[in-house]
Amino acid sequence: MTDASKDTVEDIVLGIDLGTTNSLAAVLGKDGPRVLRDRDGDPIVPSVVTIMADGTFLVGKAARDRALELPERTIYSVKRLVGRAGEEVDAESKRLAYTIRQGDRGLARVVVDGKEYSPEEISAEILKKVKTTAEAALSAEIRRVVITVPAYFDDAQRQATRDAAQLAGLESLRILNEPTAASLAYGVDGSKDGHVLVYDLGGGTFDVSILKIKDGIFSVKSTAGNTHLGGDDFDNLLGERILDVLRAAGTNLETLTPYVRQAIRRSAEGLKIQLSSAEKASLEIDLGTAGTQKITVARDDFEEMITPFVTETIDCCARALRDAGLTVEQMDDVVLVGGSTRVPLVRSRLAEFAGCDPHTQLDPDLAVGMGAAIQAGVLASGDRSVLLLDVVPLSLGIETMGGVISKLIMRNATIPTAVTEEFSTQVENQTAVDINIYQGEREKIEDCRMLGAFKLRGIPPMPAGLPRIAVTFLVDADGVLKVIAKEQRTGAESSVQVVPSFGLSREEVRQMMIDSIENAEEDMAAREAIDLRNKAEAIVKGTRKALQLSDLPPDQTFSIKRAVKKLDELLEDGAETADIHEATEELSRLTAQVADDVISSAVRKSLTGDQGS
Amino acid sequence: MTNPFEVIGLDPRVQISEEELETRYLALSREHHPDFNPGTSSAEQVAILQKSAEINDAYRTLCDPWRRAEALIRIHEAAAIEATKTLCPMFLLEAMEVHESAQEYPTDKLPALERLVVAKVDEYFAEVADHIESNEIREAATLLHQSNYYRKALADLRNRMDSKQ
Repeated sequence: MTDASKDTVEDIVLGIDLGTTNSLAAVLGKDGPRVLRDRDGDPIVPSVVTIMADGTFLVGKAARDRALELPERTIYSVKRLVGRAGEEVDAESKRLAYTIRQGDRGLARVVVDGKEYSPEEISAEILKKVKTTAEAALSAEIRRVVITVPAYFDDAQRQATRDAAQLAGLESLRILNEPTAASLAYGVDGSKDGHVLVYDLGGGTFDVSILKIKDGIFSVKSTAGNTHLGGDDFDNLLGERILDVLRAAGTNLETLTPYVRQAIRRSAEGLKIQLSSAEKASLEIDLGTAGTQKITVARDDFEEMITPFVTETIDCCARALRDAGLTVEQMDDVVLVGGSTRVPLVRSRLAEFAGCDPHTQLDPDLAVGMGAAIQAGVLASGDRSVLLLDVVPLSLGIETMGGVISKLIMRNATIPTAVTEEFSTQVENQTAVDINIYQGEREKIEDCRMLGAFKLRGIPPMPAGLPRIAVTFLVDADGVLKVIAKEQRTGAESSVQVVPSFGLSREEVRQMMIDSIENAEEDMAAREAIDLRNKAEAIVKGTRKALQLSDLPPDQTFSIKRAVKKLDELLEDGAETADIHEATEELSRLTAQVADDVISSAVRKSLTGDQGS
Repeated sequence: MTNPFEVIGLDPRVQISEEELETRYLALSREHHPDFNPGTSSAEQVAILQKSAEINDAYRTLCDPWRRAEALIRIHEAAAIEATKTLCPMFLLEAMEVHESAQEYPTDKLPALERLVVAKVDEYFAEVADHIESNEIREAATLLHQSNYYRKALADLRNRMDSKQ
């Protein structure tokens, strides 16, 4: 057979779940959606990027493995920064181990070695990693993608996600809402017609969508959510609890290094996971001469801590139902998505609210990616049997006199949607008009989020009030606003230009594209080998450092040291990729418990006043 | 103004079959949605988006009986809505009283008040519909304006009830 049987670039559209904590890709095959896995059979690409001293990026597992060793360089949860500006940036800054600041126009910038990176650039690195992993799994090149975002993402966050795709060299065919994607994975087989409530609690975001499924058409009736509420918040509360116990035991928390703080973050997540299946979870911390400090959290305690967050999600469900003009009794099913729906309290509160047990057949980690693959398949094939009709999550308005917002597009309007308004000038021969656009539900501009100023340029000079500029605000199927202006009196249709001024400017995106082409990526195999070497080197270095800090039993220390030495020699000799891979896995297995141990050592050192490390 | 009945392909009537409305809307969406009409030039893409937006917006209008009535009034007489904006002082006095009582009514009696206002709004709608059917467009428009006060009062009332829960 010839190459004709091989998938070509045009054929495949990849569905990507670009998550706060983890990302993954899937494609639609003959037997339905299929999640793509790496060489270890793992579908997950952690949404983590480490920026190395030489300016290169480590992405995915290799970066996650370095989070302990290089906390200031390891960028996690970047999705929380995408499309964010001003005070939002300062608020996020407090909870991150790496540095962020307000850059140009107040936009969030990650800072490493004094160099600024936009969240779009970091997201693009994650997308590139997802792409190469998918390409290896499919043995085909990927150019076109469907990327999911939280339904409650605003215009700027959606636009930024599109920019990230472009920076990664990908054409984004659709920005798809996560709960809508999940509903596709749930109902595409055609047996689930009716009303469903999709409850999506991920690592960093919460969404609820109410849908009606009928004859392959998935129409969203309403959506509500919070783009800053997720499993991360539960981890933070448990992290605080660990710190409280250490403080009570006399540890000076000021002396904790970022390294130890990261280790605490991980242990907190471990406690949370244990508490999903056990009534109690414990963490043992060795305090040396001061004895052992055991930290135990009962599930009741944990549930009390997270109750305010869970209550907020239930309130969102009630609001979404009200907006849809439906009652909870009219829901035929409640679908759970997102890893954080494994928390028992979330399930029990939702069951109580819904009056029925939620549908749990979908894999909460994979459903969104599978749904993205279905939509990708629809777009690739033009198959009209499946259609999504989604909504705009937040109302859109323009600033009028006195700082009041005049709403043009109401929340939960089906997209695409459009409104045309007429504008004029206030001064003779005025050739430009600024239109300030806001997104949100409140009436005053200070309570809403400014999306930016659109400038109408090139208005024909005329007496004040005479030009009649018809401005069309068009929200496309991605939920992104497009503004089109037309001067009607002179018919000078093309002369009025619309200049957006938020997110990355088109010029910035173009420059970044040029930069990335100049640093063109090597072929896939070479790139994978580099990733693996980087990962292996990180583990060797990290383990050596951890061994210095910890007091493992001699036999365990010996076997770890031996594994480190073996891997180090393989790296020195430039050994085969497969051998390095095997030695890396072996070492990872041996060091699995070192993270917990590091906390013990650091605490003990701070108690005995030993600051050396 | 675009005629939403024309966009969806329904006879311009106050009473319509919701099922037929939905069926036609979904069929049109399947035909015109940008998912199936990628477009080659950016001008073409904008045209596709606008067509799709027109269908969505027409459907939204027709789903809401009041917006449907308003659209019908405009179809019969484009200027009727603007021309009937000034309401008689007697009515405004009455409306103000309704508004105030909705604000001050004791919380436990709100459901009873809600039933009263709902009945009043329904009564208005029946009258507006009758006038449109009898081609008395100005009368219909005037009552539509009046009903606004009661509909606003109902919305406020429901907000108050929600916030008390």
